[in-house]
Amino acid sequence: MIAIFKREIQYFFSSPVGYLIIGIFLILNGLFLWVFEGDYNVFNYGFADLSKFFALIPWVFLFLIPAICMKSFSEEKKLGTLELLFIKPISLWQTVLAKFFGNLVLVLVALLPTLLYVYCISQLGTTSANFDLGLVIGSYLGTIFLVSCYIAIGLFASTLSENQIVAFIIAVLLCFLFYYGFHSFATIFPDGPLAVFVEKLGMKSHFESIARGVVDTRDLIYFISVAIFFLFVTVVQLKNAKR
Amino acid sequence: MKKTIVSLIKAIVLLVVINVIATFVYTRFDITEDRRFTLTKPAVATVEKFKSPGIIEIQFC
Repeated sequence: MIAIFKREIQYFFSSPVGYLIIGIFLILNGLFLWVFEGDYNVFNYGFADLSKFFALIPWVFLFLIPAICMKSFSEEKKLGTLELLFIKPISLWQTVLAKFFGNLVLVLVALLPTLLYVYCISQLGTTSANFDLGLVIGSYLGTIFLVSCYIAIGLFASTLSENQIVAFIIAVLLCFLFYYGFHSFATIFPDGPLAVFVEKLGMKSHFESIARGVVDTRDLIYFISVAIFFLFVTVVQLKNAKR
Repeated sequence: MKKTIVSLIKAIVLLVVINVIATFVYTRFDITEDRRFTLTKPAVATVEKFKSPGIIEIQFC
């Protein structure tokens, strides 16, 4: 299991993929937050907090995470190395988890330099270092949970097809459906409680709940169960391929 | 194939059950510095005395 995990990480950092993903992630965030005039610009926003950053981040990851996950199983299928994974003396769960954590580490490495934004925000406040640390910790926690769900969905999508582009598009579609789909679907119900219920099926309301600094077990269980569900479906899909 | 569908249905049912249970049994930790999303004890104590629905007026200045 550790060997597959290491191989995943080595693949990312010995090829341009990892650097490209991290670079694009940081450039996009940097431009939208600090340079481009627009809704996400911190200076126009006028408050020294990171809420704009955490509103932007799910959208950036919506495209980047399917891009890093799309090769996980599609490529193995195409090259025929999936059979090699099957005959190894490790279970399918271990294989899937190893790939999951490999991808997660890459995303966490991409997130690490954004701690610099926290420092910038703390210096930009009228009274410096006067930002809400709990809020920032909650937001990062929410992001990590959201990202785990995206990765689980991405892994599942990559088992569906040999073609990486198909896997990418399916993953983006599923992530979008779960993140924003339920949220916008809820707006068609005039009935309040029903609309709230439908909205709670999606990730957006749960993510925003954690990101505003309230760690609620309901949100955590939602994210963990959705991630495990998609990992389980991935394992089932691989079992079918094995036969 | 049949086995796959059965295990998938099991997983979906489990997913729903866990989340339904979670909506009833939960705790929340407000980690903002000023406990912005938690009602203070005096506020709860005041509201507890109410017998009919109250009207809240919020003023922006």
